[in-house]
Amino acid sequence: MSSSLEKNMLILRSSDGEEFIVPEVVAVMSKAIKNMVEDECASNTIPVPNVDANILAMVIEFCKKHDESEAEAASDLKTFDSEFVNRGQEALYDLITAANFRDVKELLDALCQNVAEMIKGKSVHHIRIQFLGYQLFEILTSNFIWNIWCDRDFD
Amino acid sequence: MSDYIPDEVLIEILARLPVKSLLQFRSVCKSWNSLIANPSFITTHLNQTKSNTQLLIIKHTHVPYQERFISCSDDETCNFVELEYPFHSPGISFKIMGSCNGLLCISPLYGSEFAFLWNPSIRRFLTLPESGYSVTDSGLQFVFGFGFDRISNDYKVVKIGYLNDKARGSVLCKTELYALSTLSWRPICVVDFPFELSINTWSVFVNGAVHWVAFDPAKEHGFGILIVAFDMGNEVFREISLPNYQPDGRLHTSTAVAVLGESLAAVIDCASGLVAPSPLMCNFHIWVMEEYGVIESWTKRYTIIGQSVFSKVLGFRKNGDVLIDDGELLSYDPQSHQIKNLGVYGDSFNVYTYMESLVALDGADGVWESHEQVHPNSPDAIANKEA
Repeated sequence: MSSSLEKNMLILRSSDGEEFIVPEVVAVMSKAIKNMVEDECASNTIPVPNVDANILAMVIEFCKKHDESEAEAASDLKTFDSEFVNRGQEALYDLITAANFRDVKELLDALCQNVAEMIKGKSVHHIRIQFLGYQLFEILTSNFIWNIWCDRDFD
Repeated sequence: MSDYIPDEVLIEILARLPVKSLLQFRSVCKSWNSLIANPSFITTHLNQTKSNTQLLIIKHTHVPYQERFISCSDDETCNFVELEYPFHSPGISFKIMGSCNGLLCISPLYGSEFAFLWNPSIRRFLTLPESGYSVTDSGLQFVFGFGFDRISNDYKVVKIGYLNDKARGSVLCKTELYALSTLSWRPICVVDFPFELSINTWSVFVNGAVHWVAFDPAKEHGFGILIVAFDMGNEVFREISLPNYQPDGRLHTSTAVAVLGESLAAVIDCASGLVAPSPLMCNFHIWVMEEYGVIESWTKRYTIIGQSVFSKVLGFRKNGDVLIDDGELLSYDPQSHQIKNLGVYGDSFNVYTYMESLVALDGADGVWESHEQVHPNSPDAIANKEA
């Protein structure tokens, strides 16, 4: 640990090189980081690959709020969560990847709930384009027979 | 979501969707279809939705005779939805015999051998096969119990067939067990089953076992009312004594079992005596077995009082309110004694808690039938009849 760093603080370095000083209790809300700290493989700076500074800042904001508000009413936290995850698709995707990869359960739960709410009433067509955009070509070509079958009414 | 989402995250997202969306989304692509019908996903989804319970109500009216299946969300909103009549058995009235993980066990009102498993949220049902009894068994009456065996990960139905022969006393003839994994009945060995079950009885599934109220004619002075439990795991019957509460020494014929929260509960009528000095009638005592299997842990949770005599306690809602049959469906708050009329009228009700689930979606086609294929009032069926 570097001497200038307060006790119980960790430095997280994003994929694009930006460093964030965060309390250990906040950082270990990521199970991946927690394991590193417990196994004592964490040096004073913990690299967080695949997560850029923008997304890492959001993840830290979320974890800080959840760490602080343990005593707060659960409903307040719920409101914070639903506002926090209410973002554009690009950021949402990056957050999901980060939360999944770094194993931040509470964040992943909130994100999954948000996506579920988003797609609940959507049509199959909409899901194919929005959710599986990149796979659309494949679906429309190689799964031709599948598509005919899918035109049956399920419910 | 223009990029690749890992399967484990996709599962987390889909597990938070209602059944209706999932049935539609099976046609998004092949991988979603196999994911949604996968037994392990079905379990994940069930665990997510378990707290989001609904009430299934079967309502009978006598004049004119009608039977209705109604689903109601078990929250403040109480949204009623009338369900499509699931079985093509005209002239037969049904009752619910058990509920577990979104599946309901339904059988005809008057003790016949037929039974169905039904998942109303995916609109599929399974007719249980007949056991092929001989002619000598023709007087048999049947009582069912339904539950889930966590060890073998299997749904099971237990069927108790007995002759209600007053001269000889009740003689148990056949006890059989149906497992969803095998799709067949097999006899189970019962050394001694000296109890009588009323064909009007119902069962509750709690703590891995099915429970009925039974009567033991061997016990003295008619105090032989007890709970009989059948453990779905080790497949044995056992007795559970009711709370030792017989203040007036009379036979408590309307004793019933119920589930309150996660606990086994007993509803015991209290002689409908006046609660002095008020004009309110004492109707039922609700006892809860705080620690399952420990007789000493029976605790009187509350007493249901009212201005009239309620005919029957049907069960409990998620918020602890008591569902009461009084010619209309009432929701009774045991703390404030407030009664709320749920706006469903009928001569008799049968209510069970269930939840939306995909259970049996992976069941083999041809075994599980969907409503559409057989619904007698569907336009196709009517057109066929006319032709």
